[in-house]
Amino acid sequence: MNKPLTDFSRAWRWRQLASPPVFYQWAGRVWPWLAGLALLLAAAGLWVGFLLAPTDSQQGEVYRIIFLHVPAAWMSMFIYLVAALHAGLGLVYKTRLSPLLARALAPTGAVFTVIALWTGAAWGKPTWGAWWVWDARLTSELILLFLYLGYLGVVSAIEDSQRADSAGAIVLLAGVVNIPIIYFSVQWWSTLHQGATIRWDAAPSMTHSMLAGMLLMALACWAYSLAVALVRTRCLILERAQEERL
Amino acid sequence: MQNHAFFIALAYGLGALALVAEMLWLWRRSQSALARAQEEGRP
Repeated sequence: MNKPLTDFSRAWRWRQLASPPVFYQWAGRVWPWLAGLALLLAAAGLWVGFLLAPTDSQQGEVYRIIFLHVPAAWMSMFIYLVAALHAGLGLVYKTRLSPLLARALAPTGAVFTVIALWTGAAWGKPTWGAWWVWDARLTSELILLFLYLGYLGVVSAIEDSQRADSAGAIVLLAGVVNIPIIYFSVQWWSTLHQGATIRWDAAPSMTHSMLAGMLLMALACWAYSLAVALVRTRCLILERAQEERL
Repeated sequence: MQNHAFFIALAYGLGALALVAEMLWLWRRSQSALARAQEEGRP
């Protein structure tokens, strides 16, 4: 009998998070736990990746770069989609928190894109003999970095916050088309970049310890991104409140 | 192997540097936002 009422009150509590002051308090309580979790998961992921996972028979030790490269590349795409979703919600429904979440996520997405490109270059030099090739996967990931930088440039260049949020949302939404291009580029074109190691429709082509190391590092990147985005959203809430009082 | 260690250190070293730089920048930003809010009498 009580279940519908309990579900309703729980849903109501979550909906209250859309209010910036409630979100500010909630984020302040949650982010330290996420930061601690990120540290623990990263320590576990590096331990598995460097001490338990075997040497690759073809690539040798240098393959261990994938424990950072692959999670960073996943996060760069995932964060973009989440930021675009929030920017779109802000554009359509004029919600107060959504544009702030998009602004909070974008710098972290840009950092992960830089890390994915950089670690890819450090892996490519000993493996392919080149730091960079104009391959479809690499080029589309570079375009992702330009999209992040374009969004950050637009929202910081326009003084009026609401106009900046709207213009930024259009940039983010227009760039969403690049995400499937990045993901499927290795299937659509003949690329130097290897195909997906982990796919939904096939068993992974790596040993369990390699897979465990990569997934632990991916979870660490998730926890880190959430913690940093929550702290940045708190800053943005304070800054937006100060702007509105001016 | 030694050459591989150099590339691994390069990848992880600069990756960690990027994350630490982001955290430090964010820490400074949150401190200044908090200081301004406290000047105005808000938490």
